[in-house]
Amino acid sequence: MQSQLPLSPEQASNFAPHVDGLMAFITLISLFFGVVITAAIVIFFFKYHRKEVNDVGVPIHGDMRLEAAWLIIPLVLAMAMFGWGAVIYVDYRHAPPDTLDIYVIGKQWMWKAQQPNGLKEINELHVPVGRDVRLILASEDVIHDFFVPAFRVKMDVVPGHYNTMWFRPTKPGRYHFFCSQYCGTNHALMGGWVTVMEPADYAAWLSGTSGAEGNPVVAGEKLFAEKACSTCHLGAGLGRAPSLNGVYGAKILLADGSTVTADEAYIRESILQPNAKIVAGYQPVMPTFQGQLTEEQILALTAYIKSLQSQPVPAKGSGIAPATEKK
Amino acid sequence: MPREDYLNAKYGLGSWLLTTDHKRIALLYLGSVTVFFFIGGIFATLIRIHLLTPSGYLVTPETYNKLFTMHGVAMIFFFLIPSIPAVLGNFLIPLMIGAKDLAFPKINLLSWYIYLVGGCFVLYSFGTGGLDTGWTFYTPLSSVYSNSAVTPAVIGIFINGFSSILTGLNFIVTIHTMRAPGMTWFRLPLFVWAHYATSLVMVLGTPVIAITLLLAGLERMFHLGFFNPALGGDPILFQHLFWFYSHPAVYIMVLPAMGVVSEIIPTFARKPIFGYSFIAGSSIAIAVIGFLVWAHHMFVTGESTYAALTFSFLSYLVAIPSAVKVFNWTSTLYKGSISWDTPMIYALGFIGLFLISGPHSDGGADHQRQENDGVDSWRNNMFGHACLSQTPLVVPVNQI
Repeated sequence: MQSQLPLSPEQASNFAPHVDGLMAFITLISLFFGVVITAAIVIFFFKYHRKEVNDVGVPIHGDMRLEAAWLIIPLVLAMAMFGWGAVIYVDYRHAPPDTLDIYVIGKQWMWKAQQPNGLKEINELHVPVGRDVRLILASEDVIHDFFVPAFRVKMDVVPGHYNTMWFRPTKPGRYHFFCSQYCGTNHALMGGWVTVMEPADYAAWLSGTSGAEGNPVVAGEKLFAEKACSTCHLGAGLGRAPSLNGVYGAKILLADGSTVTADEAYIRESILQPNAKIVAGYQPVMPTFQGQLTEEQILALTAYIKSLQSQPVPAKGSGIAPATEKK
Repeated sequence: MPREDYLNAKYGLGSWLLTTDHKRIALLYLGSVTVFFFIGGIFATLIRIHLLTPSGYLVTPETYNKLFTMHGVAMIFFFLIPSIPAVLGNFLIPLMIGAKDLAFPKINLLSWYIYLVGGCFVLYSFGTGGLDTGWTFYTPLSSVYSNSAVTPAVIGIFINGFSSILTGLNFIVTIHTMRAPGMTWFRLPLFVWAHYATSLVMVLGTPVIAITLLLAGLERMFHLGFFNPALGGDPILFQHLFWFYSHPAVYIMVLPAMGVVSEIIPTFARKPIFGYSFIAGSSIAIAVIGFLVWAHHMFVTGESTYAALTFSFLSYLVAIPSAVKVFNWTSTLYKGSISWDTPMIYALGFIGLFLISGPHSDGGADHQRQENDGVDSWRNNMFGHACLSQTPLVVPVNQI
């Protein structure tokens, strides 16, 4: 049951209806007391407005029955709210047996996920609908937090130990996730998408059979986005990796001062062993895709990158060696 | 000849900067907390201008992170925590209990100077690169990874803590030992009860934040491993220590304001407060239970289920005394002779804002609201509107 008003995100997990129900209960209680007390104050404010200059109020010092009433009734309501929340919470903190375990690592300022078969994702998480999923959460640096509003789940990732959280997606779709613990400069940009798929689609995706049919350039373009290459290799050159516009066939300036021609072999090596050759002016932060891509998929990506030959090369943010020596 | 009072008894800068008169010290504090209020307010203004457009209008992400951090640090440690106790408390407590000054007038002045020294360290931090750790200084971001002026800031807050501790100590001793003959505990004005409870929290809680920030600063300066997991430390330990003070700190901020409301409503309704002993007792209850709920700020850190349930239960309990106050204030209006003067309207406005600040932020389903906008909306609502609305009450003070 979800309200028709845009009051909360979609309900896409087993927890969402329960959390929303509890929230509604708490909101109603709060509204009730808010309205009652506001009404009382407003009514008294007008009804007992001073009429004569010398009027005083009636000296009523207290009433034990009223004190008892408004101690006990709020206590009972508070315990009801606590109790309902506790039931949900205990369920939330105890994952059922036989979960699909996915490892999630947060680092400034990106998320890496690893599926059970080793398949890695960046700023993306693919999960099957209707299956109990458990995330094992780790941090490489500071405290982050993995929050999926549509699932109503969140948990810190803390350096030095693992946290876990579980959920069961109930609705296929794409749902935003966010870093929810301030972690430095690009905290606000540190998020991604959870894709909930039908079990058959998830299995197909997991085994890498999607994205390899048809026109290799088209397939490669899809992979380029799916594997989040576009997160760092921005076309305009403003990302943490060089733009790939015009790269194929050009001479690349490396960090050690040497140059290399960007042919198919260079592209393949860059994907599978990114630290072998670092482009000048960039950090060795590219993760390896060894074991993540089939040869077909590497060829598709290469075809796509070749197609970027005609794209405009940005003045800054390209690894291409300058044509003439500039001081 | 005009009657001699604390304003015209002596003239000259020296008579102010070396005064031990609690009323003058209150005004010295008024000046300095107002300065920090405007500093924090400028940061808030820049934040709001930046947020006029979805993509951010004004500053880089680094600068934005510094703006909200510095807004928080300036407002919480240098405005919210000291303001009502150090201004209204200093001024009114001796007058309300029939004492000629506080128990330790020179320590009172020292408290102000300590505040200023702490403030200078923090302003130095703001001026030399700023601070981008968030006002909560979570480690290891603050102690290892941040590239901002963390160390002078934590030194400044550490020093400022002693101002708080000494003020609290002064109030406790004054209220215990300097009440006029016949002024028994249950004849104390509720403003005094509120400040007594606040002072207990200040004295017992502040040393913990002091040592916590000191450890974080030492970790940063000397690469020690208290909270840095790479050196065997525990970031969650920092959070426990930090929140052990910072939760009671919010009661330091709100109890004095509630004391003000407990005075204004009966005065402007011309009848005694309804349920005096319940309001007095609820202040003490809030102070005590308030020390037992800190880990409700840590529900998503991976703390154990049992710990979370315990802290949740206690957090619901601590709401009950606050509810008792609201009901008693409202009942005081019944059959009163209510004047519509500004202080009364402000006090009633405080109640309204206090009521909505709860559901506005989470209403108890705190898990969803951990570490996001709901927390800030509660804080800005509670303190920006509710408590801040008490400051115009300073105006009538000079008519006393």
